Amino acid sequence: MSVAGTEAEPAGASDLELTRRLRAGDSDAFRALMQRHQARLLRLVGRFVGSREDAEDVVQETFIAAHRQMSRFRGDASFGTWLGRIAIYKALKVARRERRATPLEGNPARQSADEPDRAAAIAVREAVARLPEKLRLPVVLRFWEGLSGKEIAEKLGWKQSTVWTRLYRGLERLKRELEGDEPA
Amino acid sequence: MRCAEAKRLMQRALAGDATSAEEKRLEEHLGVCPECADQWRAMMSLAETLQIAQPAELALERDLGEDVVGEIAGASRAEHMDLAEVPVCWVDRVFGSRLAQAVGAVVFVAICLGLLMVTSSGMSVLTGTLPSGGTVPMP
Repeated sequence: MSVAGTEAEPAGASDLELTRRLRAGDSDAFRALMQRHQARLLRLVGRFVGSREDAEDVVQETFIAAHRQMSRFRGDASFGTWLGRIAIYKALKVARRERRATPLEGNPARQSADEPDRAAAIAVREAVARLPEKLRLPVVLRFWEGLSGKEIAEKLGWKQSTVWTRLYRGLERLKRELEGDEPA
Repeated sequence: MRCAEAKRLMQRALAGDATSAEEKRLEEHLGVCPECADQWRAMMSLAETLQIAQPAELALERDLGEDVVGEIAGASRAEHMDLAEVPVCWVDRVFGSRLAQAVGAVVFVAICLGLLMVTSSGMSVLTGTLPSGGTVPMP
């Protein structure tokens, strides 16, 4: 990778400007983009993936994929949204593998310190993890990531009305599961 | 307002996308429809439970970008090495040179011309026409 520190400092440039420089072969621009987005991506991926190691791997794979597929980024959505979408689908893939290998209870590192009722919280997280992906995505992004329906639609490339119905169906299903009406 | 419309408004409100006018209309319906009010309370309670039960956020403990830069550079190097180390097949060695390609092109053109001549003389015999334009006397 070539280094071409030209124009303004990468850290101060917009994402769009940095992606333009990256396409021109400026590796500093890519470093700046990674530094800017890595913490947010790790938090996002951590909503779906149980272990820190797996989450870090997913973030790194996301950056590698983004670097490789830079020509596909057209700038319709923001660079952060585009990255987030890649990360979410990679995280879901890892979450499928994790679920086959280790239940969530086996991961004490992910417990909140101020959790009032650990068993109840685990039951809720387990129920969320059991949701079909198309229902789990809006539930997690809405209630754990704090995104609005509009933002979720943009992040996932769904219609806003699809987010509304799937979020609601996800909640209905969770409610039934937590009340014990639906077998796990 | 009908319950079906109230449900649509509940969906928007839960997603944080309802306007204040829509929220007001929903509130009015919930005030007169116990069934929808129960459903709304259950959904709000579940939303609260979910927020309490969310897993601890993962905070960044190291720069993840360093490994990525190394990996991309490594992959690029490996790609070049792979290309350099690919063994050349004898077919490539024989037919890959420019001289072989030129000879091949000449042979191909010669074969095409030969075929054209054979075909045209064959046609002349079948139609009874001499290549010079005369006619073969029929018995």
